[in-house]
Amino acid sequence: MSAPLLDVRGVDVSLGRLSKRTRILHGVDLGIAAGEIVGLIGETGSGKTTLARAILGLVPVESGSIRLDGQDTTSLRRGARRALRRRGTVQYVFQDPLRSLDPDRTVSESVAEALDVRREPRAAIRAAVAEALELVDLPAALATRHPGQLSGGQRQRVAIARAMVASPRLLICDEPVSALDASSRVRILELLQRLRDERGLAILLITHDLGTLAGLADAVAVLYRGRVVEHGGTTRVLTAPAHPYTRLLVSSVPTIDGTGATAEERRALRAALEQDTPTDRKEHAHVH
Amino acid sequence: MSSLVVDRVAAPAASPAPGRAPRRRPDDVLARVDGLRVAVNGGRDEVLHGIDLEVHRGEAVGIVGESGSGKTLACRSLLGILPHGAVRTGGSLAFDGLDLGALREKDWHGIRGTRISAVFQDPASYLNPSIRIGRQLDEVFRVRLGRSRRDARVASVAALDRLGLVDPDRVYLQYPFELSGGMLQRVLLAIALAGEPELLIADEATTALDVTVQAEVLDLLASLRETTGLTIILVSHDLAVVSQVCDHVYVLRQGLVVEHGPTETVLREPAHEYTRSLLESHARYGIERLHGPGPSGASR
Repeated sequence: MSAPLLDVRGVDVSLGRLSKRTRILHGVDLGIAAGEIVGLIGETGSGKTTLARAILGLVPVESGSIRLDGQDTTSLRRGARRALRRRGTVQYVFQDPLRSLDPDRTVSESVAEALDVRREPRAAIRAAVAEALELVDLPAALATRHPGQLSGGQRQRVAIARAMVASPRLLICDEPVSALDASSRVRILELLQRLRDERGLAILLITHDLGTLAGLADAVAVLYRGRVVEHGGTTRVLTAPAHPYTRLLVSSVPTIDGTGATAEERRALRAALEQDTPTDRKEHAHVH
Repeated sequence: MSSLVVDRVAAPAASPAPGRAPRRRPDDVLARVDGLRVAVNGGRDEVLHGIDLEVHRGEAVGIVGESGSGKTLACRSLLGILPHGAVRTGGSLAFDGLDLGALREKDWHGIRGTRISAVFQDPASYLNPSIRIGRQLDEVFRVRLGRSRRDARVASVAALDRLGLVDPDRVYLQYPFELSGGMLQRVLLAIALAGEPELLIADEATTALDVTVQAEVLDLLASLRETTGLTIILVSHDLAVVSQVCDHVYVLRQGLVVEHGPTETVLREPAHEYTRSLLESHARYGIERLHGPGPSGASR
C-alpha cells in the first residue's frame, strides 16, 4: 500500500468540560488507501462517530495526527480548515437522510448546496447536479421533489449524490443502511461498491452491523471503548477474530443458516470479555 | 433462572405453564388471526388485506417484512391497540378461545399486559423518564397483580435479576436515562413478563440495540421460552433474527402473507420471490458468505 489517503495516528480525543471531561478516543490508528473500503465497527458509545467527526475536523484532537493526502489537518487554523472542507475531499453521509436533508429543499437544491458554497456558475451547478443524480441512479424526475416525498432508499441516494457532487476522494458513511429495508439496503451497498470501483473512491463505512461489511469492506477496524482493538482484512477479522470483543461481536451476528455460535458460546465469550475489561457498560451508554 | 420457578409457584394467579408441546397440533392453537383486514385514515385505505396467522402454545413465531408491510398493525390488532385512525374492517382474532374482536375496552384489561404482553423497538419511550425504574416496575405488580407495596418491591428486584440485570437493587433505584438501551429493553421485558403472560409479542424489540446486546436479548427470549413455556411472536425486518429464534415464520409483504411455514423449510425452499430476495441479500452482504464455500464476486 502506497501512502494512504487517510492516515490517522495515535489520536486522542476528549469531550465535555472540566470535571465532566471524558476521554473518548485513546491513541487511535487508522489508514485508508485510495479506492479502499474500510469498515469501522463498534458498539454504541465506542467512539465511531467521534472518530469520523475528528477526521472531518469537527472535534478538536488532543494529540496524534490526522493526515489527509499527506497534509496534517489537526494543526490547521480555522480558515484553512474551512477551506479544506470546502474543497470537499472528505464528504459525510449520515444514517438518517430524513434528518440530514433539509425538508424544505428540493432534491436538486440539496445536492447543489455543496457547489453553491463554492460559488460556481449556475449552468455548471445544474450540470453537476444532474450528473450526480444519474451517478446514484435517481431518476431526473425526482429532482424537484422534497425529501418527504421520497422513500428511505431514495433519500439515502440523495444524500450520497449530495456528497458525490463535490468529487470527494473519501466518503465517510455513518450507518448508511441501518435505517433501510433489506431490499434498499442491498441497492445502497451496491451503489457504494460501484462508486469505489468506478471512481476509486475511498470509503470509511461506520456500522454496528458486521453483515454489512462482509460483502463490501476490504478491511475492518474494530473500535471498543475508544480503542482500535483489532484491524485487518475483512475475511480474517470475521473468520478468525483475535480480540475478545471481536469474537463476541462475530458470534452475536444472527445467521440465517444456523452456522452462528450458540448461546453458551456467547455466554463464555461475554465472561471472557468482562474479565478483560472489568468496567460497567453503563458509563459508556451516554456517549455516542 | 431458579428465582423464576419459585416466583411462578408463589404467584397467586399463576397461569398454567404450558411447557413445550410438540409443534403444530391442531388443538393447541393459542392465537389465531383469520382474514384480518385493517384500514388506516379512518378506514379509507386498506393496508392489511386479509391475513391469516396461527400461533401454537410454546411456539416462537416470526413475522418478517419491511416497514409498511403491516407486521406491526397485525400485532397491534392482537393487543387491541390499533393506532389512531386505523380500524379493523374484517376478519377475526382469537386468543385461547376468546374472540378478541368482540371485546369491549374494559374487557381488554384482563388480557392486555397480563395474558398478552408486548415489547417494542424504542424502550426509552415506554418509560417515564422522571420516575425510578423500580417504582415503574412496582406499579405493574401492584396494579395488575394486586401485590402489596413491599411484595411488589421484592418481586420487582427478582424480576430485574431474572432478566440478567447485574446488581438489580441498584437498577431498581436508577432512572431510565442512567441505563443503556440493552438494559432498558430488559426492564421493559421485565415489565412485560411481570404478569406472566402466555403470549409475548416482541415487535422489532432488538432492532435499536447493538448486535452483541441484541444477541443477549434473543438468547434471553430463548431461555425464557425454555424455562417458562412462553409463547412468542417475534416481529423483525431481519430474517436472520427471526430464523435464529423462531420455529415458524410468516413473510409479510404489502399487507399480505406471501409465504409461511416451518423456519427451516422457508429458508431452504423459499417459495416466494420476495423471500428469495431476502435470502440472496444475506448471501451477498451477510456474514453467512464467510461461512460458506468461500467469498466470491468482486470483493476480496
